[in-house]
This record gives sequence, structure tokens and C-alpha cells, in this order.
Amino acid sequence: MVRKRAQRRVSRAKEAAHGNQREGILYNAEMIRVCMPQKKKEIEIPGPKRVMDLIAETGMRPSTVIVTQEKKLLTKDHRVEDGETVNIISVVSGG
Amino acid sequence: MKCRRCRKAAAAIELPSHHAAFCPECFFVFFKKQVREGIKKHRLLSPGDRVLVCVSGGKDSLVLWDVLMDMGYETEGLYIDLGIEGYSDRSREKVIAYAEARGKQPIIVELTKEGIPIPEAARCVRMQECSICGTVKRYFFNRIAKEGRFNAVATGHNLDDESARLLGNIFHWQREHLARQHPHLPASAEGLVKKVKPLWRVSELETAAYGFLKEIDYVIEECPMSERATSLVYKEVLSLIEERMPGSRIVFYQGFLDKANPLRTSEWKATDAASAPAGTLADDGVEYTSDDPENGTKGAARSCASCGALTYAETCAYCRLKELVRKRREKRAKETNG
Ligand code: SF4
Ligand SMILES: [Zn+2]
Ligand SMILES: [Zn+2]
Repeated sequence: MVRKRAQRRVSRAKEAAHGNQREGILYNAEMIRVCMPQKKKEIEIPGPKRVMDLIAETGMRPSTVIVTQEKKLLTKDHRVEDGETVNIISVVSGG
Repeated sequence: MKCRRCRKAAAAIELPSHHAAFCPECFFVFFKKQVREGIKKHRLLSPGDRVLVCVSGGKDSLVLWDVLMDMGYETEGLYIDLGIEGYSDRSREKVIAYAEARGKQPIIVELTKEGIPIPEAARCVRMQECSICGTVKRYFFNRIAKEGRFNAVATGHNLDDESARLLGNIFHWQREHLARQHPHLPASAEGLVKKVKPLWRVSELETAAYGFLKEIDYVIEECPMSERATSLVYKEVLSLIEERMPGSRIVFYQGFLDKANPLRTSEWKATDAASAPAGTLADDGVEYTSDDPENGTKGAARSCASCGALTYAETCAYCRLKELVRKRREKRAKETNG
């Protein structure tokens, strides 16, 4: 019973977060969208920003990721503008 | 930022460890040169070699296959489907799609069909998946190489993998594993095929960049079992050092190969093979099994009574594992029926 309630609370929290995020995208279409496919995560960061600063904001280590935009690879000093989307892909293989 | 090689095109990647930045075309040239030098330095492959490339669907192994094909080696890809829900299917699809695009058909071994899917086998013997996985994979590398008359087995281990393993081996003073850690393990007198790691000079970042720029579609997710891997801790430490002191990783690993090579011929090899405690990690992250012909020089190798593979025991580690899984299934079936 207790557990069920807790679960419900969690899912409600998730819904709320999701809703906010959607709203965020609608209202802030002019931010930089940063996708981290391995973490299944997307965040928005106000631009303009250099790639290295975007990496720093995600807390990832610069030597462990490549940053891509469509078919292009971006260097760490590349400037990303509002409204653009970039992917930060971890290169660390485990095992 | 401009490419430091052609000085015309815009750079797509900077490599602090090489004090360089390259445009895609120049990066391809650089990358292949690194691999070629790595192959040449330790004579990993000869032009006529028939190479079995072990592909997992990840970036390193697919890039390795791609580069070796481009260099003109005769290759076939071997994919071992570990039977890990979701992950195995997705990585398998990538391997097949890549191979088809290059007019190849990968050799596929399905552990579920063989009666020994990794998650179930690990539960049966209460060991870590990765230990089991290593034993089983090596078994098939050898077996398929023998059946297909390959004279080299190539894996996609890169500089980050090898330097992390080196750090781990030093940390635990695994003399036996240190003695055997090398990008080139020659064919054994008993008939085991040589094992090579042609990507030992290139970093993980370089491999990922190469794969991306060449539009090789690899699985970006990792095997779910890898989360607990201790090698990730060593990798993290090394990338911290690398960021502060670019070029440290290659100095560390190449220095070991060049300067510590006497380890390979020392008496350590013989003594530690017999005394290494069970549960320690072998040179490729595999749990030490004293009867594994690749792990020691203990006694004379013979053929497994069940499958014919090389072993120091009556039956090989793989066959014993398979038997355990079979027995446990039998027991389970009885329990549920009775
Ligand atoms: S992480 Fe472990 S189980 Fe997964 S492929 Fe690597 S060795 Fe095998
Ligand atoms: Zn160039
Ligand atoms: Zn056997």
C-alpha cells in the first residue's frame, strides 16, 4: 500500500518533469539543445557557447567525448548558437 | 581552427596528445598511419595473413575491420551473440548491416543456441558475467580460427583499453598477466592461433571520431554488464592524467612494451602460471583458469575429451561450463515437474 503510493508519487513527479520539459522546449526554442544519447538525456543551455563549455556543463570529461552536429564533428573551440542541436557522445567502452 | 596537415580545410578534430588538429580527410590518413605503424612495430600481421576479426558491433571492432579491409588484408568478421536481452540483438543488427554494406557476411555464433547464454551461465556458476564471457569468447575465437584456417585473430582493443589494463595489472602486481600483456601473442607451439590488437596505438577518442566520420553505424550503448567493470576506474584515472599531461597514455603503454619487455621472457611466466590465485584477472579481463592453455605453461596440453580443444584438464573450461548449465537446467525441470 505504502509502496503503491510512493510509486504513484514518483510517476506524478515524472509527468510533471516531462510536462515542464515540453513547455521548456516550446518556450525556449531558442536555446542550444544538447543530446546525450547514451544517457538518454537532453538538456537545453542558453547560447552562444563554445563546445568545451557545453561539455563542462554536462559534467563530462572532454577527452572522453566527441561532439557532433548532423554529419559534422565539432572541435572544442567551435561556437554553438541558440537554436542549434549538438550530440555529446561518450567514447568510453567498458569491460 | 585550420587543419595542421593540409593547412587549408577547417579542423574537425584536435589531438592534444599529438599536438595536432586535422580535417576529416587528413585525419583518415593520420589514423591509418598510426594503425599501420602499430602493426609494423610488433609485426602483428603479414600481408598474406587470413585474419578473423572479432566484432561486437561497437566502434572499436567495426573500425578495426574497416581499416584492415581498406589495407587489403583478407578478413572475415566473427560475431558472438552473448544472449543478453536487447543489447545482443541490437549489436548484432549493426554488425550485419555493416558487413552487408561491405559485401560481407559475418560468421555468427549464438550462445543461446549453443546452450550457454552468458547471463544464465553466470548465474549457474555464481561468477561475474565478464569472467564467463571471456572464457567463452576465447574458446570460440580459437575454435572458429581453427575451423576456418585463419592464422590470426584480431580484436579491437585500443590504447585506452590496453593502458587501463596495464595500470590494473600493475596495481595488483599481476606478474603473469604483465608478462603476457602485449598487442601480439604469437601462435603457440600446440597450435593456438596468434592474437593481435592492431588498434593498440590509437585512442578511444580517435576510434570514435574515425567511426563517426566514416559513417560507420555502431552501437553506442555498452554491454549492460560493463557497468561494474573495474577497468572503467583505471580509464577514468588515466584520462585525468592525459588531460593534464597530453601524450601520457602512449608514453605509459609504449614504454611498458619497449622497456619492460624482459618480463615476457622471465621466469615469472612459468612460476606465476601455477600460483596465480583463482579469481584474478587475466590479460584480457578473463578470470584465471589454470587449465586454460593461453594462461600458462603448466604441464603438457592435450585435447579436450569432449570437443577436442586444447586444455590442461580432462575436458576444457568451456565444456565444463556448458555441462554445468545443462545439469542445472535438468534439475530445474525436475523440480518444476515433480
Ligand atoms: S562487458 Fe562483460 S559480459 Fe559484456 S561483452 Fe564485455 S566481457 Fe562480455
Ligand atoms: Zn587537412
Ligand atoms: Zn571442450
